[in-house]
Amino acid sequence: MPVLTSDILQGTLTGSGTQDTIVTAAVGSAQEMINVQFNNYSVSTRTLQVWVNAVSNQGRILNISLATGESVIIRIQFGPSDVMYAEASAATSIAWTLTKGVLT
Amino acid sequence: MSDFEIEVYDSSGVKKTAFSTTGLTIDAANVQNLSEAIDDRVNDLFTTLGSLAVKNYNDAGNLLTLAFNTPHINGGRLGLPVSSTREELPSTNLADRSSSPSYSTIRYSPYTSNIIGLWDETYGAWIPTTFSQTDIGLVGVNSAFLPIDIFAYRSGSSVVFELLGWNPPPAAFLTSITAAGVITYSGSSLTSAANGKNVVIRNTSQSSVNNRMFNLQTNTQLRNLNTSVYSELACTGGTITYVDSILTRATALTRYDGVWCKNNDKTRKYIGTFMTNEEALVQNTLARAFIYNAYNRKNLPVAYKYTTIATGSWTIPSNQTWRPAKNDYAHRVYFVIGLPERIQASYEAMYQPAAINPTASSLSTAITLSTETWTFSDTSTTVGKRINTNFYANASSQHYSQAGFDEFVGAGNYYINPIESVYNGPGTNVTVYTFYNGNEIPNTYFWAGGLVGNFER
Repeated sequence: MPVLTSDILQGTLTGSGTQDTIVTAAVGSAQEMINVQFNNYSVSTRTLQVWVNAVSNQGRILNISLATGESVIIRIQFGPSDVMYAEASAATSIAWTLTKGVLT
Repeated sequence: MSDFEIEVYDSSGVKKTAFSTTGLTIDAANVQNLSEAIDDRVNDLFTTLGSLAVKNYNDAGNLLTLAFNTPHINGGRLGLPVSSTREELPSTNLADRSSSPSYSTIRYSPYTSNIIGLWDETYGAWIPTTFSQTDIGLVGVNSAFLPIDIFAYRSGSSVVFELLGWNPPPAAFLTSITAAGVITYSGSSLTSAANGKNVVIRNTSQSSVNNRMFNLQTNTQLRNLNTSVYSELACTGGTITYVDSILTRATALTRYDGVWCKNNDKTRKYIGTFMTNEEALVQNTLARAFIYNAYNRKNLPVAYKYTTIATGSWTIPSNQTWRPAKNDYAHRVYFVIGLPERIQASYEAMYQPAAINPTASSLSTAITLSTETWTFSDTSTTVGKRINTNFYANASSQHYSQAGFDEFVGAGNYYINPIESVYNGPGTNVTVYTFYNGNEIPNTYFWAGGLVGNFER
């Protein structure tokens, strides 16, 4: 019988030029429901980019400008070994919070 | 990864109903391919627009441009570099070369619009291209009365023009003129190759305006060289050649997408033809219609009216064979057409016999049309309709004579000549006087003769 487990992860994006790995799905047949929130807590507008599986034009799923205090929430269903990357246009600006439910 | 959702919240935590993102790429393996969806909508759009629009793809197969396809748009007209009033309604006193204004440019002006559809290889379509009034310099002028085609094409996003002169008439050398004075020539001396051809006598001491062409009939007789013609040929030396064919284009016109273009060059759209006078300048008057439009043509007049041009009466000798009206080759209308056109013309004159003729006499008028570059003087070659006016000679009466011409004529340069002849009855020797101005005929005060016509240009 499948078992659902959950997890919460948090962090701050490193900043321009660095793509942080937000989450990597487990190897195997597991399906993971990912909810990740990015929040711009800085006093300036920042750009957020998010990729899935490859940091390339083909892998990019989001390129958005967030004003101070704005948030973006991404809900996505991961298969085995899927990876999410994210990059902020400046350091100490965008925090992220991830919740995931894993069905095993 | 399968489907996903993105939500954006403002600083108050309120969900935004709209936001923008760039560079969004969706994995085609798992989600709907957005670009394909866009392509579907674009295809629907093109289906609706039909041939009015074309798609263009880059090397990667992605839709690059959407271009409107407009081969049918032709907003401009060619004319003299003067006001439109002057162009459309040429003054009646502009027939004479010396008194007619002439110009070193030809003007392309907006008429129905300031847009012309021109083929652009970049887009693979006829692109609607805007233009403003442009004065085009006369390039490619090789010879007087030699037609020159004008093509429009795109340079960047601008409209520019290309001029291309027709081939000069191919000529074959016959003989040299070595003695000054009136030319006398024995038909037996000519080669059989020249039979039926038009002969050009070129006087090396004068300009091309003095070159004259004669029709050489079969059996090698220059029988049309009458006395009056000799007087025009007071040559001091030169050559005699014959023309082997009528004028031809240096590059033919071909229809692409239903539009006349320079052959093998779809980018060059044919917009018209013009020719120049003896000074390599362009004219556009009643008697010298030297500008022809391929588009936005108007039915405009041509004329050689006696009331405004010629003065004085003239005499036609007894039993005069066909000759130019008043025996003057200046009584003519020059014109050029770049595509086949219907040409209409009529000639009217009033004649009065000098003495009573006891038997029937006839006076005939007709109109000839020549297809050659050079002056044509074989008045026995009559093209088109001819109306003879027959009458019993009576010194106190006037007789009206009329001739008409209404034919489809191919592209080329032409002139229309009115001609006249008289046949006297047996045993008579009546001189017929021609009157052309109503004021010179008793009780006929408001009549005026001459040559009038019209065609689309």
